[in-house]
Amino acid sequence: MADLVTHYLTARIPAARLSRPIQAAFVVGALLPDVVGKFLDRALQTSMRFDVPSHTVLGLALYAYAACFLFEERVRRGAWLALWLGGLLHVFVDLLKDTMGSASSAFFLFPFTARSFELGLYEPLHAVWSVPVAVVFAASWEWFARRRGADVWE
Amino acid sequence: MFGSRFFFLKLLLGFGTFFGACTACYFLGMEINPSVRAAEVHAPRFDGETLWIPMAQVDAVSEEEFAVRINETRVRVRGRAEGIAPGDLVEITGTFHSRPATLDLHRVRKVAPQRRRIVEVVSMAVLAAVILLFFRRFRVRKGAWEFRWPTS
Repeated sequence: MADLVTHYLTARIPAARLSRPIQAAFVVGALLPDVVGKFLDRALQTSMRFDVPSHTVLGLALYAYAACFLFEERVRRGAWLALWLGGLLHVFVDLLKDTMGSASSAFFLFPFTARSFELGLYEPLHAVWSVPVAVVFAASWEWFARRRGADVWE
Repeated sequence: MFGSRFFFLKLLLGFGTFFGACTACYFLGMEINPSVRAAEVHAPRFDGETLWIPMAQVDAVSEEEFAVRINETRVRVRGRAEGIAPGDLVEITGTFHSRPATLDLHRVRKVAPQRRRIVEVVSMAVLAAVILLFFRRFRVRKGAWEFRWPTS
């Protein structure tokens, strides 16, 4: 689990280019893997192996499908895609971490392969570095976009 | 597939398939982060495999090796533990050998549970803010569990 601040901020940039209701689905999608994973871990007290699909390409598609039914029919297909893509962005951000190959995200291709993969650029609890970088990146991008007259976010 | 016909059946199918995938992962994904205990029980299968121990307490340290305790299990770890002292909480990866349980050290680093707690508290605050923002823009339609846009 990278911190949700980083996930939220990294989701804002691509989401700003989407239509308003889909925007929200994308941001929620970027937070869902940790929410679902923590729910399985803490509330249901399941083993870590049970939680892995909360961060896999296939698992994300499945619960994004269930979650998209909370959106009205008109935007449901787009909401599913946005929830899934937001979740994939979450997994990508997680792959930047160095969890010694142990994080659920590192098994993102399960059940196709059980081999773990990650880029290992920073320790998970070094949010002290990742959060300011994400804040500066997101804030400067939004500042430039607004200066050019783009309505990026509500 | 995305229509409102058989709404609850589709909802159930989505969640059901996901929980099915979790259960399948639990039973079929034995090689995903097995515990030392599981590796000992299925020793021939995991001998020579890389294990990850998320949290263990350092029991003793010598020049060439150290020992850690995970619940009731004591594991010898062959390798230099620089900056590690007895009583420290550590995260380890290493090659597993059974009888007795031994690891050839790949990596070790100290664990800071209090820092993890801070990250979790900040994350909860962000989650609460996103939920609030979400319900500023969406509302649940009367008579159906659907979020509608816009709220006005």
